[in-house]
Amino acid sequence: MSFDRRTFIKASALTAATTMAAKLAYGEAPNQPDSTKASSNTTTIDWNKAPCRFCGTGCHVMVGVDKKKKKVVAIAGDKKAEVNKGLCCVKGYHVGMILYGRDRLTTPMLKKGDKHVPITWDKAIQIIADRIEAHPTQFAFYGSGQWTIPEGYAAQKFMKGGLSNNHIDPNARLCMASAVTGFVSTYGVDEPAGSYTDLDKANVIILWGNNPAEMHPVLFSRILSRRARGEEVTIIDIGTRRTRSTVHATKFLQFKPQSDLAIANGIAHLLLKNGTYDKAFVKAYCNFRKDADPKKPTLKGVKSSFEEYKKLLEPYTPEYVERVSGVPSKEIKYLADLFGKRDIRITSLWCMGMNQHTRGTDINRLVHGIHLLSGHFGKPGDAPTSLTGQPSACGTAREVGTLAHALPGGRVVANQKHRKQSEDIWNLPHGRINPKPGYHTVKMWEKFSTPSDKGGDIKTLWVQVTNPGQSLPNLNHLFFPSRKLKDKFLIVSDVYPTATTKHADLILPSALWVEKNGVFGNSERRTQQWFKMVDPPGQARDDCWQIIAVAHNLYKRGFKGMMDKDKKFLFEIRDKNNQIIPIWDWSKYYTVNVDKHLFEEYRKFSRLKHKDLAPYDEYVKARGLRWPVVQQKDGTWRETEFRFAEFDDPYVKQGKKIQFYHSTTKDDRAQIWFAPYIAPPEVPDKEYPLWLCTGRVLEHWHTGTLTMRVPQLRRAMPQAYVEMHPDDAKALKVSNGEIVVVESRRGSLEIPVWIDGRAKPEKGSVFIPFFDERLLANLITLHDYCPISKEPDYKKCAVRIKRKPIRSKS
Amino acid sequence: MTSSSSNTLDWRKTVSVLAVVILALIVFFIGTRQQANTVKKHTLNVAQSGPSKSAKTYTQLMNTPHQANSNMQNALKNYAKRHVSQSPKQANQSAIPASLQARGKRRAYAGAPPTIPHAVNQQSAKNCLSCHQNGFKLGERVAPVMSHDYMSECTQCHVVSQSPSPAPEMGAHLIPLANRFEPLKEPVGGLRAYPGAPPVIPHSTHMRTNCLSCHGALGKPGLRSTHPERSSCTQCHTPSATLDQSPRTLRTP
Repeated sequence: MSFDRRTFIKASALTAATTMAAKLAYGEAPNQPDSTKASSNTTTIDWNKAPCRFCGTGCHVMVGVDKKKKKVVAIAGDKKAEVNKGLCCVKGYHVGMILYGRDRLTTPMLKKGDKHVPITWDKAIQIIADRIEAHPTQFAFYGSGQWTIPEGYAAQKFMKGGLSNNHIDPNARLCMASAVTGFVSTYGVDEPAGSYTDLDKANVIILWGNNPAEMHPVLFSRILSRRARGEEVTIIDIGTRRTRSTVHATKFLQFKPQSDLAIANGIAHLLLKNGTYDKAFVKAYCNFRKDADPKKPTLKGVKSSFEEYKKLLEPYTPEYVERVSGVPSKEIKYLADLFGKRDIRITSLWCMGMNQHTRGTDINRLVHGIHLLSGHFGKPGDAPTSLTGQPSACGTAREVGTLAHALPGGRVVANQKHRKQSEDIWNLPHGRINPKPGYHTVKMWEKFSTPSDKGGDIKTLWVQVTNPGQSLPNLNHLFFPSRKLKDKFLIVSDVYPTATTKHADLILPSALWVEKNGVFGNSERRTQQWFKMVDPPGQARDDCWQIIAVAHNLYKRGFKGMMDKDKKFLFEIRDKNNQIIPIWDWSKYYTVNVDKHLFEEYRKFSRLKHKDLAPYDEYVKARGLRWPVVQQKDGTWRETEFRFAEFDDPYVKQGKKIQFYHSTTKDDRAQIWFAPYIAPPEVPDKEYPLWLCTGRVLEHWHTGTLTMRVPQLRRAMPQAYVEMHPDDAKALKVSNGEIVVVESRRGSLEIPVWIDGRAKPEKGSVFIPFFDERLLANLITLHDYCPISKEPDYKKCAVRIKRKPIRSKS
Repeated sequence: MTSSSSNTLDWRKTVSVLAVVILALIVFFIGTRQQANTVKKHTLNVAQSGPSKSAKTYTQLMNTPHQANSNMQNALKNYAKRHVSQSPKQANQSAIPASLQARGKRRAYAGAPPTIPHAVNQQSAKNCLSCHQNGFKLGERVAPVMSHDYMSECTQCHVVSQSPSPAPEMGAHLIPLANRFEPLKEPVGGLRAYPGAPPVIPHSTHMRTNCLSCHGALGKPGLRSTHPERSSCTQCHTPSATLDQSPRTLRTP
């Protein structure tokens, strides 16, 4: 019988296919959609570029604005942007929605009793000016790395040039101050030498207590996509907790909190012992340095030598490092062998793990040190690179220098020459700028929380673009006490009600992101510009305008500080006919591009440290440019991908190959530092047996003010939690989802437990994200800080966990 | 249907065998169909938020299947019926609005990355591909194929649409969730140069390089192509220049 099952199936299939083909070929034509209606909604959209509002990666997005509604209606990754090449993370894709939360602040409000009542802008500006005029030296300005460059520059000029008052500091102090001191003490000048291009070229990427899969997702994808293309990339995760980044790591090395210092020293020890350090590189480009007394470290330290360096490293044998860090000695050898290889490229990445550290400057120095010692520096893919968490931590806090000790362009108030240069650019009489550094963040808030008669000499504090009532460490010490002192006045400019506005005496509604013009500077020295696209809601106004309006109010009263040496207003802008444009009047503020005027003035500061900025209009055309941006002979502007390397940096002299032209020893050499392992200020004990680490999650950005109002992000991560190891939970008889009490010596918090949630903490340690204003992680943290950078340690303190007492049902 | 190769056999015999086979098949299919219709509507266990549950061990957690959340369509009434991919004979115009609405539900705006209607492993995106690389349809449950090039960190852009937290949200009312964002709506149909001309693509093609992800056999009704066998889509359907999301003119100050 030949008509078997097989034949039958074949025949049926053929018939079916023929029938289908015939229908496709000769079937009816598909119905025509009405072409007049078709896609009508998409042709009414204006697309324009802007850097994303969130982290320091500096992705560009295309912002779709509906021409009729005049509202942001869509976001797309910017294909022309070199940073993100058209990709975003989930926060970036939803960034347009941050403008439209239901409870945007739309009117200035003054505290009366325990209520906030609406007042006019005129009244608000007057109240601020009154308080400043009464006590100009007892006023402090607390800003952030979310200030745009022109905003930060205006605040800087207002404080240091106008009020002769250096009490201005950004929240970036809590974020990357240790990175700054690390760069400055090693290279003599701040900010990474390399760029994101290193991530495309490195064979080995080391994450030092860093979780880029959640914090810098687009950069992490940039690395992972190389693997997808078939390239081999070794990722080594040196961490205290297993995260989404660990999932992709070739190796995970778990270390005890703070012992990263010992690990770095262990690597250096072996490089010297095995003779695998880069002798030629060290001989040509490096000096050695240390702190005279590690208990009293300084930014400059003292001169050391190779012999002394070697001797100081002697105790850091792999076995000793294993005892201190918990990382097996063979893994320390593995790391040292990697650094000992000349034919591979190694990039180190770090962020808060190394920066929020009571020895933050030291660990930054040590990681730079092992890169220099092994010659893994100055070639594409060979770079020690710190990442920032805010969109303009580099651009505004670090470059404009909105720090208590700094002036724009890498200058410091303590330097007479620097003060004079600044006074000249600002056309101020010499001697206007106060030579004494102001209060850094922790000190500023301590003074604000101390009664005036007990030395608390900050009476009025103006907060812009940040949320210290949630993000300061040890809130019970730094934030809340001031709120009970009657003569302390807290002014807060923000876009939504926050943990800070709740306690503010005066609230000012601000414009946000594309509701204003702006310029940011990202982690790889890239300066990025955007234009205002939509109007802010209600009476919300630009932060920059707020500063200028207060400045002008003081100027009108005859306050001398607000005048330059020709008695002209500090922020005077004239039109083509040489008429003054009243930019302090909100209705006239956008008749001129104030950003451009401020930027062009600020640009004059950028040459001293070879951080040259191009004219404003060049940034309008580009998706950001990395400084130094130097004009070519043909008039075009060229950005710099790799600093200090002759092949790319125009400021390296011919034939030098590598030149650290801002060397602190003035000999074109970088400093290799020795720093010992020093135990953290608080370690778990019998009473408080667990380590607490705090940090961030993918969906929320910092204190969650913006992202908690985006439904997609809020639903994906609705609240904070304490992440526990299952064994610890079992020992405490705590179940998943149960509300527990987390206590430290400073405060306590009731919070749900999440076991095996977003990440896996090691046994004996717990993790709490700080994004949730209802569950404040910083009630528990400590405010001990790095003695050099003054950056607090949010990553380690001792806590205990208790089950919540069961209340009787009476 | 013929059987010309059977020279040695009586044609009557062939016909009778064929008749028996066809009859048997008809009965079989009717049977399976009836069976399918009588299958009750299944609902998966929806992850409930509520009071605390007892802690699970690692082994238990590893064995926990991915549960659907309430944004997942759970009607598995056709579970027993094997899905046969079939392209529509003609575009199903009437189904388009409902399909676009369904798309819109999972996206913040047209072009946004869709949220995930089921629970996922919060720690790793490594197993997303087991369903979303080739896609499948099981009953009404569709795992769409990725519309873009392979990227391994899926959860960077796609997040779950319902809380993964084991505890109910505390003080949810303290931060308003409502948002006044008015999204760009999903486009309807592409423009045609003349009746019968192939329509241009009415949406941006950025991150949408695999047309069959939405327009293939697993696509929503009304969006499916009538001619999936012609795989070079952009040969006839061109991306619209107004949708390249580039600024047309950069304003100069």
